[in-house]
Amino acid sequence: MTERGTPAEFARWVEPHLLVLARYAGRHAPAADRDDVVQEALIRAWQRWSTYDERRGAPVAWLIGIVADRCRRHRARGPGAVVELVEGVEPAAMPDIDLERALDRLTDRQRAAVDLHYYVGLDVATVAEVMGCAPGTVKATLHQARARLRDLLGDDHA
Amino acid sequence: MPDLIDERLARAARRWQETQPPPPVVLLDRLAEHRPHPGRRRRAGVIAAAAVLVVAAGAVAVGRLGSSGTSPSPTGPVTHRVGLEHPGTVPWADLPAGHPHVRTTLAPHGGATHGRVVTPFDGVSAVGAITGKAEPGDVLVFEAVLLSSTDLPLDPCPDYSIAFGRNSHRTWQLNCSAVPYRDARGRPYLPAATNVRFDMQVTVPDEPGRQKVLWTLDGPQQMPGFYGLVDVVRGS
Repeated sequence: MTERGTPAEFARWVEPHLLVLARYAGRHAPAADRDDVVQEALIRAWQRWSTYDERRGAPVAWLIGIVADRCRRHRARGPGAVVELVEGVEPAAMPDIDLERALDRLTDRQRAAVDLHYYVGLDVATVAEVMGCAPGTVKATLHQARARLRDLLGDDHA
Repeated sequence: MPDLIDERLARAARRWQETQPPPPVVLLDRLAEHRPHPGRRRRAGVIAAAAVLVVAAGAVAVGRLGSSGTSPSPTGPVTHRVGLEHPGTVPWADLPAGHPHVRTTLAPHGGATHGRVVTPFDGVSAVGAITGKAEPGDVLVFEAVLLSSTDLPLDPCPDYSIAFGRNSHRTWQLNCSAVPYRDARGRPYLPAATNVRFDMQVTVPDEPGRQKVLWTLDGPQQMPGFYGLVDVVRGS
């Protein structure tokens, strides 16, 4: 059982998952607010740490659930006054606009599965824990999402 | 037969990941400000831990305490570390600024980039956390995390600056020789898409109040960097 006592112990426990949490927040919150969302989520997780039960799932799934909640609250508060300026973006770093638009037309669950698996970088089993379903369901959802994207983008452009 | 959509998604995701700044660090002082909620099964243990936190918070209120590690001393300056120590972090060294010549103005026939000033470090981003409470003369230790989008030799070794409040500003050279990565020519370098952590330290100036501490990498026009706020309180 993890010793759950001090902020430093919590920090050591959560640190291996920070990259994934930041990526998730980066997909669901404005870039300028990403770190704030993660910090809010970490405080919430710290406050709720004693309720985490490892028998019910991996830490990363529990933590992403908290980050997702903070992202929803952040969106509910409305847009802030921050304007992001992007200068000198290299062509290689330009997003795939057509793909981004097509992703917006997926169902919420398909979009969530794609985000978690491809962009956040989770394996299917962990995606299943985050989404609260079986790994087979995640595989099927990803399959449907790719089929839908194929329809939207066309095979020639895939 | 390869799934082209799968490959396109993976490629787009990888590109997006590479553009993301490094994740934030855990701010221990912000955690300490929030008492954990007692769990159903571990209520007694958590109450005990919370009691420890309350004592720690009291220490923050009456004394000097950094956000993570603090070396208290009743007689001399105190060292405050912000965040956790990470293995493999490049140690800080008091190296005088080298002021390397890194800026190049692109030639007139450069088309749209005509006249643009570029440096080898334009693709570097820097993040870090600076926070806490300290007395003048104390030493603040924190990490600067550098991330390059490409393999980047630290040759020449860049300078960085730390501005503390309105009147304190100093420039040092990065401790490049202690970077654990070497390229084929034996030069220290920042591997692409890899966080490289550098320990930083700065002496707190005698400028009471909430002060902005700004860390910047010298060279690039955009000056990659980060800042935080530190409460400077004179001792009684």
